[in-house]
Formats: sequence, C-alpha cells, structure tokens
Amino acid sequence: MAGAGVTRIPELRASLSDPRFLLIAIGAIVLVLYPATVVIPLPDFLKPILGGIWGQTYLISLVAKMLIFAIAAVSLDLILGYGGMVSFGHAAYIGLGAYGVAVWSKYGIDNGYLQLASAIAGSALVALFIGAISLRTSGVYFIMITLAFTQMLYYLGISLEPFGGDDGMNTKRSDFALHLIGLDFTLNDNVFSCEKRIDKACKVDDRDGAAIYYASYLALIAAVWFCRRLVNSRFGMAIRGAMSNPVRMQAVGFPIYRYRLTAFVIAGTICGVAGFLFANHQQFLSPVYMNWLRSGDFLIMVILGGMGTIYGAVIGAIGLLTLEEVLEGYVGKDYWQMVLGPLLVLLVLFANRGVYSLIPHQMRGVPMFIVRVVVFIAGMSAFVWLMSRSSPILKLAGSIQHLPLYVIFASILIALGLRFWQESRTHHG
Amino acid sequence: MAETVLSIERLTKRFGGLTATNDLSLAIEKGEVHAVIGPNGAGKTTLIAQLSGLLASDSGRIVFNGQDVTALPAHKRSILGLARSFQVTNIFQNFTAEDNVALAVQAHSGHSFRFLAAARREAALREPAKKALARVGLEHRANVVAADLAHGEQRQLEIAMAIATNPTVLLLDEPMAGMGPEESARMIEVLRGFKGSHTLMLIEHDMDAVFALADRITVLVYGQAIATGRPEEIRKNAEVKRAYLGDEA
Repeated sequence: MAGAGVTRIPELRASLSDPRFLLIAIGAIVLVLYPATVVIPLPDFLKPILGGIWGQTYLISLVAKMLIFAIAAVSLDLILGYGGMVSFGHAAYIGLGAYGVAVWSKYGIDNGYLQLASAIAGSALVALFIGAISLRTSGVYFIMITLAFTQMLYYLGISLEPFGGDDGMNTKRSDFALHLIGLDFTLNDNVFSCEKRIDKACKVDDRDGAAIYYASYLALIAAVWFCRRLVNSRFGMAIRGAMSNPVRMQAVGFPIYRYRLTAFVIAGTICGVAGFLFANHQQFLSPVYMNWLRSGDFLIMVILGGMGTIYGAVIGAIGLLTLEEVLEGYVGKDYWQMVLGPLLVLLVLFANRGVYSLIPHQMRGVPMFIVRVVVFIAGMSAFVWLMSRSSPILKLAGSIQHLPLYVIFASILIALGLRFWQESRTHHG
Repeated sequence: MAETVLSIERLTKRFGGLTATNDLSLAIEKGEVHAVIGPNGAGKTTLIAQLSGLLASDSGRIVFNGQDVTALPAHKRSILGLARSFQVTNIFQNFTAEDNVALAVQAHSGHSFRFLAAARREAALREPAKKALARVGLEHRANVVAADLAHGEQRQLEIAMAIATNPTVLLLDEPMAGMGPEESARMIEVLRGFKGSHTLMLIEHDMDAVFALADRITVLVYGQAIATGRPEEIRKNAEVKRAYLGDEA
C-alpha cells in the first residue's frame, strides 16, 4: 500500500496547478465562509464592490437553495452524463423527499432521523418502481415515461388534501436532537447568535437558519465526492459502457439492466435527500416541487454546466438560479421565462460542452478565461438591460395565455436536442 | 472423432416471409477453425446473432459445452465462454483501447457492484487487458481513444475485447471487413495465433483468409448448409461452385 501513497503526491501537485481544481477549492471555501458575513463587518474599501451581497440574509437563503438544487443536479448528472438516461422526471424525488418531512410534520413529529430515513426510503422505492419500468425503453420513450410518472405524482400531490393539496402546507424544520448524548441540534438553528449579528435581526421563522445552509453544504460535498468516486469505480465503468454501447456491453457479458436500474435508484435517493433539505429550507411543502418545469430546470443545469463532469452540475445549478434571480428582478415576474428560454438555447450553442469544459486545464489559459468571463458578464448585463427596456414587447407576448411556459418548454427541448446532436457529432466525427 | 463444443440443432429464424436461418444443423469441434461462407443474404450474420444471444431463435437448439443455451440472454452466454466480435466495428468509441478491453475483463471478474475503488487503477483489470492488446499487436496503442484508432486497429481491438473474456469459442463476424490487403494479412497472423488455444467460428468474405485459416468450411445458402468439409473438399464441390464460388475458384 506504500506504493499507492507515493503515486498520490504527484497527483496533488498536478491538481494544484490545475485551474479547475483551484476554482473548485476557492468556490468551496467562499461558500463555507459566506453565511459568516452576517457577523463580520465589511471593511469600508470593499463596500462599493461587495456591499450588495455582504451579510444579506435573503441571499444566504438563496445560496442555500442553490446548494440544495446542486445536489439534485449532481444526482441527475450521474444518470444523464454517465448513464445516458435522460430523466425528465427528476423533480419527483425532490417532492418525495419533501413529503418525507411533511407527512411526519403534520402529525407533530419533527424527528429528523425518522424524516430523513422516510425521505430516503420513499425516493429509493419510487425510483426503483419508475426505473424498473422506464429502463425497459430508451430514447424519447424514456424521456416521456419518466415525465409521465412525475406528472402522475404531481397530480397525486395536488389531490392529497390532508397534506394541503394544491395549496401546500407549512412544515417545521427537522429536529436532530439526541438528548441521551446531550446533542441538541435542529435544522432551525442559527449558527451565528442574534447578539453577535450586525443587523441584530433574529426571527425564529426567518429563513436564515445557517444550520440548513451548512447541512446542505455538507450534503453537497458528500454527494459530489460520492458521485466522483462512483463514476470511476467498476460500477461507474459498467454504466458508462452501457451508455456508450449497450449492445456490446451485453455481448461482452454485462447484465446492463440491473446496473442502470441501480444507478437510477442511487440518483433518485440522492435527489430525495435534496428534497428533504428543500422542505426544511422552505419550511413548506408544495406539489409544485414536482412540476415538470423543475425537472426541466435540473436538465438545463446539468447541460449548462457540462454533462458527465459532476462539478459542472454544481456550476449549472448556481448559474441557472443566479440567471433566474437576475432576470426575475429586471425583466419582471411574469415574463422572465420568455427571456430565459432563448438565452439557454444560445448558451448551449456557444458553450456546447458546458461551462465546466470552458475552464482551462493549465495556468497559462487563465488570463484568457478571465477575459471571457468579463465579456460574458458584460454581454449578459447589456442583454438584461435591453430586455428590461423592451418590456412592452414582452408584455404583449406575455398576454397570450401560458406563452412563457410554452417558450421555456420549447427552449428546454431545443437545448436538449442541440446538446445530444452535438454529442453524437463529436463521437462519430 | 473430435469433441463437439458448439452444436447447432435444427435452428430456424424467420423475419416475416424471409427465412434467414432454415432448419440449420452444424457441429463446431473443439480446437478447430470453422469458417462459414456464403453469398450475401445467406444468413451468416443472423446465425452469429442467434448464437451470441442478441437475436432470439424461432425454433431449434443451441448446445454449448453440453448445456442448452437457446433461451439464455447474451450476457450469460458471454460469461459461459461464448464470445463474439462484430462485423461493423462495435467498440466503446470514447474509451481508450485499454479501457475497452478492461471493460471486457471486468465483465468476467465477478459482479460490478463495487462503488468506490477506482477501476482504472485495478491491476486485476489492467494487466489482462494489456495482455489481450499485446496478443492482437495493439499494446503500443493502449492509451489512444478508440475513435482515433485506424480502421484496422479498431478491428484488432474488437478481437482483443473478445479474447479478453477467455472464451472457449470465439464467433468472428467478418474480422477482415473493410480492410486493405496489408491489414488483412496482419489480421490473418493475429487469428492464426489463436489456433490451437481457441475454437474459432469465422464468417468471412475474404476467400484467401478463409482458405489460409480454416480447418473446415461450411457453405451457407438461404439459411441452409449445402456443404461442410475440409477446404480442399469444398474447393472441389460442384454444388458449392455453382451456388457460390463459381468464378472465384
């Protein structure tokens, strides 16, 4: 085993000079420190740059949501990027995880262990059921069947009156206290106490619990670590082989169905944990969590960030939610989807292997990369400004019932189609 | 009389009105190179697909090593030692040559429900893969992505993947397809290297290759075997000449 230790050292040195590794490390550190901005005063000279995001409770809550959706996107990338399974129903497991919290919460049981176990068991079982049927098909049929199952769950949620039906219901945050060993921890905790906070704001039900933020952060790190290990393991090679060439896999001796089904269940279960966290984050349950639009969002996150990289899914989740937030703020609540849709298609066209693939492998590529990022942000700002100016056009378009929904749906399908077309060309070209 | 390792008994496959394999019986003997030849549409590739389990048979039996495998799925037949290569190159395009073969090794070294250890660092998978690549003369191309290999090299990789599973019988579907004379000559040498250690059932259009390699030849016409025998017997057979060899012989 000494040999293994020796080979690790050059690898570490190699990763320290890899901008992708550095970017991930910096991102991880920034994310771990961000909630602490509520107790650390911002130096004056930084105020013009960071004043808008420093210590903002609602932004911390938004980032927590990004982390949670990143877990879901990572789990989707596992089956999409490495297994070729285009699941258009991944939001189902967010919903199931959330019901794992809500069903107990309704009867006054806040035990987090019980809730988490229910979320995991529920999403694993449903993934097993949906996967067992869907994986007998492929291509467009697989997309449509996963979508159909999730819509069934969505309408089931709407008709479940005891749990709020269409309107949803409030839930309490999970309690992980273990009084026997003196552990007193709930996801409602504020890691940074009220007295120390600069704004002194501390409402119990405010969505500012740093505990949920850090729980999500740790869960994301665990999910990324696990998925990266998984895709390089024997199991990972088996599902990647099945994506690359299913016929050959069978001829060479692999029972591919059971490996693909296992991957589908693992992905659903990880996403179920994200759902558990999401219910805790929102302190609310709604069947809308399982809406097909959210499934589409997850697909877009993975495609945007870079399929088959795991890290790309995290970038995609953070990127898409940032875009949504900005567009919603500047273009308006009713029309932002009309802008987002075409934008996604453009992004897929230009960053065709996903954002992660644009990050350079070597240090000498960094300056050019920074230039690109600046140009991109400037371009985006100009675009958003233009869109906010031409809102009468959008308003007219928005007056057609459900048009924004059609636009986003069509855009997701076009973006998906483009991405797979590009993929097929790179493999055979 | 040599031992029969793969026995095809009254096998039939119909596609609508077309009978691709018609009540075919054939016995492949242990250690031989058995070539199956026949004009286009004779049902040669269909036969390989039926034998490897990728295509279900309508009637008849396939007995491999004394076991009836007619109803077994493809992956189970592979595990039992019945390997095949494909006529149209059928490899994992985006994997390296060594990854391709290592995957074949992995299929035959227990289940793959191992989730954490890095498969590319496992000597138990990489060493046999390297050996199989060396047997087909591809060891110097081990780290090249399969899609970037030359056509002939991809065909060699096909064979390496089949051989890496330690098969008792190797079903080769036109290993020389699309090759130039130089590549063909190299492939004949590679296949000759398997003589004695493996049983080969070979489908091939390249008659030079067939007569250079085969111990026995079966001529397939419209899904039926019209003749089976040693190369020199087949060369002389009047019926074969009329049906197929004609101008070539």
